[in-house]
Amino acid sequence: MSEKVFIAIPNYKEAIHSGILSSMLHASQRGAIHTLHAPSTAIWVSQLNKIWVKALESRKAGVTHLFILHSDVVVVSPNWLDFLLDEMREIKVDLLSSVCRIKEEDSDAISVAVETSSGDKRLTLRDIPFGITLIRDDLLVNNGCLLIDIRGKWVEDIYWEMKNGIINNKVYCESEDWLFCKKARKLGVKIAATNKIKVEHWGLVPFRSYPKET
Amino acid sequence: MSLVAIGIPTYNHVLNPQIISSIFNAIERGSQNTIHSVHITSTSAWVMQLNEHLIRAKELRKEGVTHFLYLHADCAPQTIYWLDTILSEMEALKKDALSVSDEIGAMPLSACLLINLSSSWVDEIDWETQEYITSECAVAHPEDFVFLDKIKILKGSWGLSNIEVKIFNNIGRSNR
Repeated sequence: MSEKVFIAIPNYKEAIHSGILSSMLHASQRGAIHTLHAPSTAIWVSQLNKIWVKALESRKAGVTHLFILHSDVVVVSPNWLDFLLDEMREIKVDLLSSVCRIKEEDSDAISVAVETSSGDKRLTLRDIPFGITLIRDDLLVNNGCLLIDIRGKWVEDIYWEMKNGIINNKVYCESEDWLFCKKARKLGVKIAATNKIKVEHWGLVPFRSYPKET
Repeated sequence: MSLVAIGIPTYNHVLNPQIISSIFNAIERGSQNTIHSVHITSTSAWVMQLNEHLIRAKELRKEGVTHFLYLHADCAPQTIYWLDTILSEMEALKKDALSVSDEIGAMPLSACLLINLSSSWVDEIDWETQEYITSECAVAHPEDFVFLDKIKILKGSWGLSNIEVKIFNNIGRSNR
């Protein structure tokens, strides 16, 4: 099966982690990379939609998948793109994210959550230990290392957005990736997260302006 | 037939994303030239980093590496099969070192520098920097010129190639 992947690395100020070059050089032994696209802008959601439009346009050139990689995420495992494509085909899902630790000290939380009635709950490495792929109907995944099969009709009915609002007198903001998952699920999309490849989040420390109070 | 080791020094592991495309488009499929490896370092000690790359490239001659390409983290060659082009130019011009300049010659000399590792001077050279006394001196005498002066003293020769290279100003040293 000839799967061709449009790889997008959205970034700020034309800067990415240097390890991403290595990630790309050992991504696929079977030449699955069709396009590399690394747009730079401060307007994040707009950037994702531009990527989305370009990827869908690229289907005319044979592109079958979109892979989004954050500019501070490095995939360490060799032939990781081949693995993700095989895994996606094997478990029959449309969105497959890899597990990536979030940037908070003293936390084992990861970029994967589940939707609950009292608000979304972020999972931990205990929920998805290394070597596991998790498929759940309520799964919400981050777009830091996300493979999307764009051959289905559902892709025409969705776009990226952030949702702001007020609940119980408190302002909230729903991130674009988890909202994308919720919208996709309503369109019949199956979502999974895998912890079978090694992914590093640059620094694994939060961006902070002031020293932490002790 | 050339086997090229690429070295990319960075600060804080920051790389311009265009370099990924540059590396993918460096060599034509079926070309006799091959990229042996891409080695990326990150440290604030710039000249030490240059020497680390040079030492590694010399060591890789044991594995058949014939050329060392040194590329700054903010310089992305745009011309398709640019590495094939500068390798053939180096051979035609019979140069030991070839620096790539953009159309207005504004590239720093070591930003995209190809070195033939079989040159006689390669084992006798290292990067060093001028002692910076003033900021003007630092701008006027960066380590690039010291390095290339040394090549001349050691009877090597270097030239300039003219392929399209894009320089991105957002990263890199603040004194340039």
